[in-house]
Amino acid sequence: MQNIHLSVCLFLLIAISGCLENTVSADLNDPGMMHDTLSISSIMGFNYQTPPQLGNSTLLYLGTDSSGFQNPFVLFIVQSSSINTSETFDSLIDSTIEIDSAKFILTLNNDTIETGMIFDLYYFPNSGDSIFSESNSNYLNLIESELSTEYVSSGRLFQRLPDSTENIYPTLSFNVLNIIQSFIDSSNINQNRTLLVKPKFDLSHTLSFKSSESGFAFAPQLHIFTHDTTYIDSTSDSVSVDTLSHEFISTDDLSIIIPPTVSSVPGQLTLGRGLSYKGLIEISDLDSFLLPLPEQSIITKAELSFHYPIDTTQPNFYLQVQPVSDTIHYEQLQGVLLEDPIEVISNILPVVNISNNGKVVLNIREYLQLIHFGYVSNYGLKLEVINTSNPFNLYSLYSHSSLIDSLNPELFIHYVSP
Amino acid sequence: MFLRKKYYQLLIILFSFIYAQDVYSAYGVGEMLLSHNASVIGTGSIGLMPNFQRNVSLSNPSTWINMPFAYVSINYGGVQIEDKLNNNILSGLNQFQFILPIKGRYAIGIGFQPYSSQLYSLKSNNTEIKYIQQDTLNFNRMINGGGGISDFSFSLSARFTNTEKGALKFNYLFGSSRNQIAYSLNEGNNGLDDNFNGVIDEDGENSVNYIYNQRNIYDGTLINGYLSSNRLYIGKRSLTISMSFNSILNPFRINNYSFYPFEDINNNGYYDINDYPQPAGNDSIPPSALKSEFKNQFIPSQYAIGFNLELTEMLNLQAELSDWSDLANNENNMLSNMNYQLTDYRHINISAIRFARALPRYWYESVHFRSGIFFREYNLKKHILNDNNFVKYDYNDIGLSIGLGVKFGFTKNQLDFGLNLISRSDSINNDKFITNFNIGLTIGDIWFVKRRSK
Repeated sequence: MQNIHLSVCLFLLIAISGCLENTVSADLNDPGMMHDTLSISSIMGFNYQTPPQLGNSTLLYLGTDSSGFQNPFVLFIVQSSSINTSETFDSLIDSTIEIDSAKFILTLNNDTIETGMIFDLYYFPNSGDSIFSESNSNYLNLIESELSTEYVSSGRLFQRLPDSTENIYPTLSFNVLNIIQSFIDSSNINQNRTLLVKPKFDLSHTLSFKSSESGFAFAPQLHIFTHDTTYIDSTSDSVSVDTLSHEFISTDDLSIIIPPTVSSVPGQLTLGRGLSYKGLIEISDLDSFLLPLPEQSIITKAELSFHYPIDTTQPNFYLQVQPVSDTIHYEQLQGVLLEDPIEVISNILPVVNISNNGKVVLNIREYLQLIHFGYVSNYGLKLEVINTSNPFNLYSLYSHSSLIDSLNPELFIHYVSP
Repeated sequence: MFLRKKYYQLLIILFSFIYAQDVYSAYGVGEMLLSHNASVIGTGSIGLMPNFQRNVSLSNPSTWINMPFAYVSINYGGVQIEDKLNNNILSGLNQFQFILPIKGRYAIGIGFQPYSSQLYSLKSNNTEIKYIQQDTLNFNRMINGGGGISDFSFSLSARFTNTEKGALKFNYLFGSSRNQIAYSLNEGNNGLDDNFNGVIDEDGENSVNYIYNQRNIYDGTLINGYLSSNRLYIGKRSLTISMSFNSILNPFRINNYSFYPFEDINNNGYYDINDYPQPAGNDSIPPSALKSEFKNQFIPSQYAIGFNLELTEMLNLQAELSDWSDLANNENNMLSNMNYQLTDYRHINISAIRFARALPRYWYESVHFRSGIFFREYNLKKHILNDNNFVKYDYNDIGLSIGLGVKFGFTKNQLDFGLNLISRSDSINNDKFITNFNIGLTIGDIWFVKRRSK
């Protein structure tokens, strides 16, 4: 009997499972969701200037650029642990270790040797390691004449002959054996790990060297060559001698750049790393435009577009757009500001690669969506070129005061709402 | 005790599968189940007049006093809706009832049945095109929905006189439904765009889909009144008249949850971490669902009258008329994704039943034969957004019904079959042919009778 019941249940299960669910075509013209657009043209651009901040740059600069940028010296701090052996500066004090030689090496950024240039190396025997900060030091707060440097040695660029078709970058090597004790002597409260390099004579053009941000292989580094003497048997005279190379790379390095005086062009927004011109975008009517949007609207596209003069703009640069997190006091943005007063909300908007077609289109959809959610307020947007751009280039965008309306910036929004 | 293990097994399976799929389930509260059991379907009626057994209708509690035994009834049904483009089948449990007559004077009953069901997947049959900033944007819509309203009923009936009986039925309606609108956007694929690459994306594979989900939770209570009289005669033939009304007892309440729309970036139809705005992991988590409570969005009301002329002891001729209305007047109908409201539904049927003989001499005298013809008219209206106007829409059914019921066992157990063949004329959609089939099993037992001690 039980089997019959189970069979009946199974039959019903199979019969029911055969039900169909085909999509049916119907007249759905009545909007359950609708799409619409908004266009905003009341967009203003402002410039402000801070000292150049090139601490996270992959290159270090020396010499004077044709645009007038001066790069008088470069500073380094080397780390106290070797990257290829287990030695530290402290452990090199051991009496069994004898230091044979010590060199500080920089790598040029191009593979063609520059001749006739001499560079000097200085250190700071009485100043400790707080000479500079990668993120805060600049030409305004770090004056060369106020630094108590001591000359160490000079060096010239040298390029090893390649064994094959490999690229061999020229290097600049300084002998630092005579000051190495000041690095490894931990009993000195002013233990020195900071170095300064500058050209002996003015350079008519700019040379670029690889910085610590360019990777271990080409980072500025201190090479210390040692040999260890070990007695194999205490009752005999037999000894073992090992020759070793210890590499201490630079952890912080900074080019000091002194920008020329450049006045911004009226009606244009000027941006640049070396000049540290940054832009602020104010969309004053944005709130009143977004307010009437239905509560559960989703921004599908928001393009903030700027035109720029092609002849003055370098192709293929990268622009960082970030929402400003507090009210901007424009009256405080006069002259060169020691510190950037504009705080931003990071990681919301993507970096934009600008190609040379005369128009910059910034996707600010996430920013507008967050405003519509009520999570952020419309304090404006901050524009700056990112650290891979050439610091000696200037980039200009037409801002609202342009004489030709068609060149004015515009925000075009698409949205969908229930 | 007739609720044995086998019936539990059957119930679990039947409750587990309730399907529906057609455009009508996207209108109003969904497709309303107007005939719940096989004997009603067999006569093509609304169940006001006796059709289950002589003087008994499972759908009219005022007739339950005439039941000789307590009954448990389970009905299972399936509907096939065909037109020239589509063929969809829906099936599921139509009714579970327990009816207990008490000494021929009173009766009580409980029941569980679907009130309405929604399961639809509808795609727009045309594309909206916009030209914006030298781009061509193509929009399309798809709406999906599922769920429905269940009905738990409790009935009381009493005999007033030898010929007059009355009953009250309370229906607690509860349930939920999920509605989804998928709005797709496709840029520049019809050849008008400068960047058109020559490949027309007819399947929408390159479309960006924006999905908006809503959930409705329902509850409300209805009250039904029934009155039956067999006082009248036409000649020597007994004429039974029944009337019923249906109204709201507690206002029907809808809790609507409106979830934030999202861009379905990975096109999987679900809101997940790959979509925009992201549901978790950063500061852009969208606000939680908006909750709104609505009342008076659905105010059903129904009046019905029926006549049964007993031509002979076994042969009966019946007619029923009913008028169902939704008295709600809402410009924004939360119940329907398509914003259609079923405002009126009218039904009329004429049926003939040959009941089984009380004490059958041959096998075929244990069988009830039912047949009928019926006409139904559905009126809908659709409010135009941002406008006080609305458009009307209607469709009509003409149907033929046949059915039979087989009595078996001492307690007059019964196995019923009902079949409707319906031609639907639709002023918007394609005309339909609908086949409605139902099976009912009713098991009787004796309650409130002292057993003889062994």
